[in-house]
Amino acid sequence: MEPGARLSPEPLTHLGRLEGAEGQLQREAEGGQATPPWCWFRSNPEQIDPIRDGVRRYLQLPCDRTVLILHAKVAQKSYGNEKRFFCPPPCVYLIGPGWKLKQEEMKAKDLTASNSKVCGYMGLDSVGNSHMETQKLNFEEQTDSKEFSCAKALYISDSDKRKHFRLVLKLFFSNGQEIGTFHSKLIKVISKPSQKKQSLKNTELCISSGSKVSLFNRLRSQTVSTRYLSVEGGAFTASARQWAAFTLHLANECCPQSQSEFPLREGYIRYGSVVRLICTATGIALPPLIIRKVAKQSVMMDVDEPISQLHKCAFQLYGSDGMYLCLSTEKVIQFQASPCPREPNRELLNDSSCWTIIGTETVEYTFTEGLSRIQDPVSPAPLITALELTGGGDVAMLEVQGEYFQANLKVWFGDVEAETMYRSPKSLVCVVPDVSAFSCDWRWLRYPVTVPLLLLRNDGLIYSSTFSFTYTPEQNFFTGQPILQEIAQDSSDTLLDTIHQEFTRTNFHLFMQS
Amino acid sequence: MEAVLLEHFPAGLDAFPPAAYFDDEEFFTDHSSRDPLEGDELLEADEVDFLAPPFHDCCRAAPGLGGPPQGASLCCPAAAAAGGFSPSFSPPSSPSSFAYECCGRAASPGGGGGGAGLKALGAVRRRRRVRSEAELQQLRQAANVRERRRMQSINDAFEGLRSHIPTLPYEKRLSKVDTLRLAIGYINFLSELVRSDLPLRGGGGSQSPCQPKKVIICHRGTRSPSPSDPDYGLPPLAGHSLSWTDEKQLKEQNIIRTAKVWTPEDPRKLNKQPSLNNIENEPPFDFVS
Repeated sequence: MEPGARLSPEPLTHLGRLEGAEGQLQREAEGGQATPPWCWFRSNPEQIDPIRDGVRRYLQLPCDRTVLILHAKVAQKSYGNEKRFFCPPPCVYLIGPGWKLKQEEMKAKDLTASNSKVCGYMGLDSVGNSHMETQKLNFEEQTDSKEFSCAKALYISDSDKRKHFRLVLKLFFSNGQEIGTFHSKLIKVISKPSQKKQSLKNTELCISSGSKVSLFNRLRSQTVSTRYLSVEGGAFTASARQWAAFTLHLANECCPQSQSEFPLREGYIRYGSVVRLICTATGIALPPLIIRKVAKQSVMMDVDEPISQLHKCAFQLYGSDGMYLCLSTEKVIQFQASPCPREPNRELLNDSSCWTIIGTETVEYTFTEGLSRIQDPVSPAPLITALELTGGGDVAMLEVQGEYFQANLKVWFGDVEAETMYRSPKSLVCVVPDVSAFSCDWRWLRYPVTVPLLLLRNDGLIYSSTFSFTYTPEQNFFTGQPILQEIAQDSSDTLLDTIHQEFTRTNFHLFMQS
Repeated sequence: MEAVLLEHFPAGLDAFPPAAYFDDEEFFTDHSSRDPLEGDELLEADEVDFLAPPFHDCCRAAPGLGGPPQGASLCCPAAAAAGGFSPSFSPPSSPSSFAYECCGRAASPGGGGGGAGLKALGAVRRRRRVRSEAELQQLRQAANVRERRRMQSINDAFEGLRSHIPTLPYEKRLSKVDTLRLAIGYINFLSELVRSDLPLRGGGGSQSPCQPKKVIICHRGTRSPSPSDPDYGLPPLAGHSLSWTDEKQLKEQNIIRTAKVWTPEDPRKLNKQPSLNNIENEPPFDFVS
């Protein structure tokens, strides 16, 4: 297909289209300087066509490459010579059809098959120029065409005095071509699990309803015996290899079985509350559970303080008589606790029913070069965290908030580029294109138009986002609903009269025609 | 002959500016609506008489122009109209075919016509030769009756449609074209009313708490509506309100909503099948891992 063959002739913004001569200004404005608002214009069509065409192809057949990093929110410090490996180990998944496509493309170019394999290194972000200790990642292909790897031997020494750090992931193809460098979210360094009762005044270590957690069990505190709660083949398992992130949220105490309860209950999770655990990847849940505090192999039935990171806890099946979530090698089963002879507020448990809870984070970087041959690393890959709309009337502005923004990024609404200003690594501001920029018809049609939001690097690299943008038609005169409500009790004649009145009032222009 | 013409076009044919006259798609109806309302339907029925005879009267009279005065007088302007203003003359089927036939027949004596028109004409002539004058008159009368009935049914239908369309209080009776135009608009209006009714009853348009304020882009300089617009008959759009969603958030909420529950096994139930319903009475179970 010829580039631009499908272009609508007039990509209008609501500010009108100024002549292409001003296209050069566009290039000058790219340095990140704010453009004065009276100089809005669209880029020269000749310059924009190949990129717009690329975006259109992408929208028809998105072949994204996604780098997903899963990691814990806190890390325990290693003192002296000890090495407390991060638990659960940080994981990397390579997801999306783009990986296969890219590898095939590289194989086609160079017949040695091995050099299109992805490999990587993970380590801590370094302070100053200190040497960064990294660990090599070997990716293994999983059943659902994901590639998976994890860094099991990372730790932070007490010589590192930082309170927070990030993990750094560098990915390469085995022929040496760099894919990019990706960062985790911030990880808090702690010395050991908090023994104190958690105060809701300092909630940094608390776990809130709706957040993600990982649960693991360690027999006799042996690292080698660590098993992670996971979901495989539709069933909960205790895996030695892989861990899953679970959404932990407070259930409705009156009817904890109800699935439809929404929005979720908010707040920090305390011992004794009824909770739900739902696997973020598979959507499989455990029945309602009461989360209990564990101390010295027994469950504390009367504790209701907030839960803290790395606490040991047990999960009693709601409505059961002392049945707890327990592992038996790979399997997850129920275990009957026995009453404590001397203390009525305690029940005796076994080791396999004690779970360590830790909050987790996920970061997802998605990018594709489409058909253009881009050799440069894709990093820094931007992340969008939030959007904010301002203005209205003639001009509406959208602020895109996130991380790792650069001046060479533009915001795209579907296949329409928006005038974008770079403010900071955490903020881009753009002008919302008029709906007629997508198709002339859409100005007249009476249904909402939704387009995906993308970020484009100036060389055509596409960073897709999980955000979409919707234009909903609005009528200022149309008051159909209030009419119907007001006169609902009246006779149908009155209703008809009102509709007639409303029609003649709002359609005066039609009566004027002949 | 001329007198008849002048009776119906009191100011004479030339007094009507042709463009304005034929611009209106309904040659005859427009004419009749100038008359008092009572005579309206009557006149429309009369037109059928005027309309019908020229069909063959004109043909017969074409060479010599000696036919019945009414027919010839009406035929001529129509033929002239068809010749002169045919591009702007696009009425419903019957007047147009009439004009076409007139035109074809008027041209045929000159010998220049030919084609389908001529062949059809020949066929008509052949058939007509076998028929007597009385027979023809009978046929003509039957045709007139049929045409009168057809027009009457169309007029009745328009009247029915007209009665369902809201009008302004001071509006005179709607013409057929305005009846159709407003009907299109009114149907659009009603369907919009029904459609927009549904989501509103569900409880408010604002979905996400993070988007409390409605931001609307207004449209300016919209062109005047035409019946071919998809939104014809609806009040003009004020603009579009803007909103956004995070698909990831929706997906997560959806996973929570549709979560399937997996219940861990109770090993006692597997080992002691008979006592399945008797858990309470069991002694504390010794777990073996």
